[in-house]
Amino acid sequence: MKPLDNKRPGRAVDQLESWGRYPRVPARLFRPERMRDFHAGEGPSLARGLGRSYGDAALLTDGDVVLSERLDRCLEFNPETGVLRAEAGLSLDALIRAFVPQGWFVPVTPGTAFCTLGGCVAANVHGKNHHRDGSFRQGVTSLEMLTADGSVRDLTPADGDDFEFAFGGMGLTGMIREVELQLRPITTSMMMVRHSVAGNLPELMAQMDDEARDDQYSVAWVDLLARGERAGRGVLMTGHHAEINELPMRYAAHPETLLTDRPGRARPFPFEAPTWLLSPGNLRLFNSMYHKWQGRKGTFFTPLRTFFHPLDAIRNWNRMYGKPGFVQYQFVVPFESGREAVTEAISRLNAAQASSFLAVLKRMGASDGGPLSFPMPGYTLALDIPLREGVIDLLNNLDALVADHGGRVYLAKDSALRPDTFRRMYPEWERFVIHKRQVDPDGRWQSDLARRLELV
Amino acid sequence: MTPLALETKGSVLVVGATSPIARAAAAEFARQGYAVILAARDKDELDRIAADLRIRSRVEVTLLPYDADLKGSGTRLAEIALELEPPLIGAVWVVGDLGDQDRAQEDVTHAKAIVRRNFTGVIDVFTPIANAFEARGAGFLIAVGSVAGDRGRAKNYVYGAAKAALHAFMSGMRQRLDRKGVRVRVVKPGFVDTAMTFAMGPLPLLASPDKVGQAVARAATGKKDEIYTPGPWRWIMLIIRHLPERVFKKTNI
Ligand SMILES: Cc1cc2nc3c(=O)[nH]c(=O)nc-3n(C[C@H](O)[C@H](O)[C@H](O)COP(=O)(O)OP(=O)(O)OC[C@H]3O[C@@H](n4cnc5c(N)ncnc54)[C@H](O)[C@@H]3O)c2cc1C
Ligand SMILES: NC(=O)c1ccc[n+]([C@@H]2O[C@H](COP(=O)([O-])OP(=O)(O)OC[C@H]3O[C@@H](n4cnc5c(N)ncnc54)[C@H](OP(=O)(O)O)[C@@H]3O)[C@@H](O)[C@H]2O)c1
Repeated sequence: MKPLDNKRPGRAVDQLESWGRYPRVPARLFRPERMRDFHAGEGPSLARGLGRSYGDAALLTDGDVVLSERLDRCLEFNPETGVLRAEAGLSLDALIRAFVPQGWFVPVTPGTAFCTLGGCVAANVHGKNHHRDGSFRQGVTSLEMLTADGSVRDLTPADGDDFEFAFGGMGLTGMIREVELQLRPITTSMMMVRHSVAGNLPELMAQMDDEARDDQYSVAWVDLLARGERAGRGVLMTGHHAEINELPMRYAAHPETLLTDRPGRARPFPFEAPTWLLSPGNLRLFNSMYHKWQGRKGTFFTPLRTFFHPLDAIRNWNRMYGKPGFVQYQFVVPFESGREAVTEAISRLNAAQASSFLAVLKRMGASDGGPLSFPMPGYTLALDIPLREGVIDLLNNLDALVADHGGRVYLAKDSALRPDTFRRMYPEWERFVIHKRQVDPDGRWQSDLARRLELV
Repeated sequence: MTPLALETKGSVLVVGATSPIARAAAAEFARQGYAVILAARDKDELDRIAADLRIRSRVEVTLLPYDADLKGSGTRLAEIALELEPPLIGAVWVVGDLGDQDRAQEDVTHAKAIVRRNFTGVIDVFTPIANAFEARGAGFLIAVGSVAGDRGRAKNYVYGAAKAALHAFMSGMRQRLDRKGVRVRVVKPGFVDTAMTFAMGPLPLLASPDKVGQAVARAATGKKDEIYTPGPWRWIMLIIRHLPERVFKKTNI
């Protein structure tokens, strides 16, 4: 057989950006169509999925960024056990489309379905069920990885660090080619959801901690703009996959529709928004309305797409923050000091007038994966902050607070953390660096995140 | 282990099956319940695409080797495809190679390879299949051509010439076979978002390979003989085709 034509042309881009649209850097992009062309370039290289990380985790200034999106084939599926082996570029969106009608769902999903299996492993993503089911790591039984020396390795938990460090490894230990994961059986594509209102932060946390109130999935929306007695008021939203016998008769009457997936057509966000749109006055108004409206819902059924990925209904919603872009700040702090740390963080955000309306609070369960994996037991808060003068300083100030409380920020969403604070947050960082030097002595895999945190 | 498709409608042969356009077309045929036969050179990619099709649509997928540069390969491919069960009902030619125009101007072997991969290769494959469909009085033949075949341009005229020949070959077969119940279709994509165009940066009217692949599969049952995709290319090419040579030769279109 003759050598095949190169199916890996490159494209130089001036402003590669991820979901937060900050920062923007020049890079060479490659988009292989065939698995054999999914490999590093000549110099420093990085694998990239759908760019749904927010900061600079999927960026590499002047390096070779290799997109996995065309490598999205399902390779093996056992309909008895629900174990799926697929290429790392498969998106959760495509997975859900193909497998929900067959009665299977992903074991863990982040708040967007437009991310790849490889990206979910590399960031060891968590979902609304983290407090019960752990991170993406828990569903994964095996990985196929291209290592820095060019060899392809099949990794399982028996391989120890080589396997575990890929989870939260942010693409720095190798390029993930294939992922094998255990899907979750479902009998309907509907969710049974319960909303309840809480008047302030202590009340919200108490509801969240209440085992009787808890469910498989649990997350809370917090109104960061409410002050005084109502500070930290919110709506706790819990749910589980509805079983057939839980559904009202009108659904059961049409059994063929029980497992339909309704992805809907994503509407584009029409323009780069002017900055006044998200002025404090407008946000306050929005939050008040949202608090009333969501709180009133009580118990109801909703399609799983609406429950898990509500933001996916608007394509490019990141343009809402206008040209400068935004950062998403997410941290987790241990339960012990959780209330204190969250309250203090909220008040610092308010003092800086930096809060936004997308703030989410959730309980996290046990840690898993490698040393840079984010989740650990405690409360996690995530919010969007539009980028403007002084935001990076504010974030560094919050970083110190989080580190003082024994917490950490999520690297997949970060673009501001300094190396010294990072080391306090991830005390096992050294194990990661030593491992990285062993598996990648020449520093083949790099990213702007890794450079900023002095991991390479 | 894999449950069989609900009903088997016959097989569709997709030649050049490792192209992302072909993969989307095969997926659409599979979704409609056809068994698919995939042919190309790259065995590892064929295996991956076949596994994916089987899992997503639970149809029967057969893989066959095909190399347009290898004597006898096309003839053998047609022979085997015609003997497989369920019986062959359609064939799709997606094989193509843009090649390197600059190289083709220096190296005639390369120019001829481009012509073989875009045009002459199809003769070996489609001639016996067309005859079988004619005898049976049913079937469809689809070729993926290109807007580049509508007018020779300095930038890629070897490729364009091969595509033009492909269009003419299909048009002749259409006139011969349409009356015998065999549908002969040509799909002419404009820019498709594939490896061929990725390095060129953002392009106007760029279509996803999925969209083009679906247009290819729809051509089998649709009424149109020649399909431009995306649609506006029909009008763009109408204008470009009608520019007088005296004007055209001076432009850089
Ligand atoms: C609306 C929204 C909601 C979100 N909600 C959550 C949430 O609830 N929980 C959560 O955990 N995260 C959440 N995220 C973050 C997102 O899930 C992660 O950033 C995820 O990694 C994105 O996947 P991706 O395929 O887009 O990866 P990218 O953003 O392209 O890359 C992320 C990292 O993965 C690495 N990587 C990607 N592919 C590979 C590969 N094949 N091999 C090796 N490394 C690779 C990259 O190098 C990079 O370091 C959310 C993001 C958005 C936009
Ligand atoms: N991409 C565009 O913008 C565009 C625009 C207009 C028209 N088209 C046409 O659309 C078709 C598919 O294009 P694409 O962009 O998807 O290209 P592609 O990925 O390069 O696909 C080309 C296909 O042809 C096969 N092929 C090439 N040389 C071959 C040979 N010697 N023997 C056997 N098979 C061979 C390849 O298979 P193996 O390598 O596995 O053998 C592959 O399946 C082509 O006909 C192209 O001309 C494309």
